[in-house]
Amino acid sequence: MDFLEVLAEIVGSILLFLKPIVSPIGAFLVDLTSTATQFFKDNLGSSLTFYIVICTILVVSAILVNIIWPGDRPGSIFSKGVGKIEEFDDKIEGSEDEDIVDEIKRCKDCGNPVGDSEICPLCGARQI
Amino acid sequence: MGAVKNMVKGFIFTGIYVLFTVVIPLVFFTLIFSIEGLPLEWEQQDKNNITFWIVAFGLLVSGLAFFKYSSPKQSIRKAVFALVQVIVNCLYIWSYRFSGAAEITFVISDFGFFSLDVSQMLLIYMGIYFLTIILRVYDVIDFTINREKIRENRMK
Repeated sequence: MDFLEVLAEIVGSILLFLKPIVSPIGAFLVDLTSTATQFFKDNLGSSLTFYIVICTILVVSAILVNIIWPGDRPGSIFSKGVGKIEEFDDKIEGSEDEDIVDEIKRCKDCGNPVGDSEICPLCGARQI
Repeated sequence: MGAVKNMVKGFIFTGIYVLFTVVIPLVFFTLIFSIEGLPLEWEQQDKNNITFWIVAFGLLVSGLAFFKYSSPKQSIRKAVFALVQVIVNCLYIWSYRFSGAAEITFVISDFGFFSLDVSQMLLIYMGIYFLTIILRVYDVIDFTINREKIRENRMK
């Protein structure tokens, strides 16, 4: 029993200490909730249709969101987009590489890039 | 597979929420209001008021529960909907008070009356909900800041 009394006194003193902080917060929450519930009572207190519609919208949208973004892999819409972007980037990079390689003139004998010059700077072979 | 698993989880928890926020309170109040043979009196208006608000906010809470529990672990949407759900839960709890369900007076014929007042208990609940709101706000901030890390871990 003594132990319980001590425990009750400790809890009581903690609550008393916290009262100046907790009471205004509690009062604020009560005010907020009262205002919100009063709003519902005044404006949406005649029919359940609104609540049924909101509940249905929540469930349907949650199902759709889960199909698109299930969480354990990139979302289907997101991954398709990323895939397309990567594919497009690869194409651009690939075509750029091919163009550059094609444009460079190389020596017929040694394969060294010669540019516009008629003589290979490495082996001296004529490029006709 | 993840989407199906999430949705099954969501439906299970929605069922639990519907049971505890709508069905059980409705059955309880219907039984109380339909007691016959006992010298108890009720006002019909109270019954309609109480059942209306229980169903209305119960539906909102259950819908939000589906969104919350069908969302992936530690996702921002889960945290946001958990926060909204706690706020709507506050409204649900408060609806018991303003609909008159928290202060019910039983009039017993030829005897007197007794009243059941659980308003103080509701206020304690509100305090607990406030602490929960703080935790949920922390979750939203935490999941937003560590978004990339959480996503990487989840995708592994």
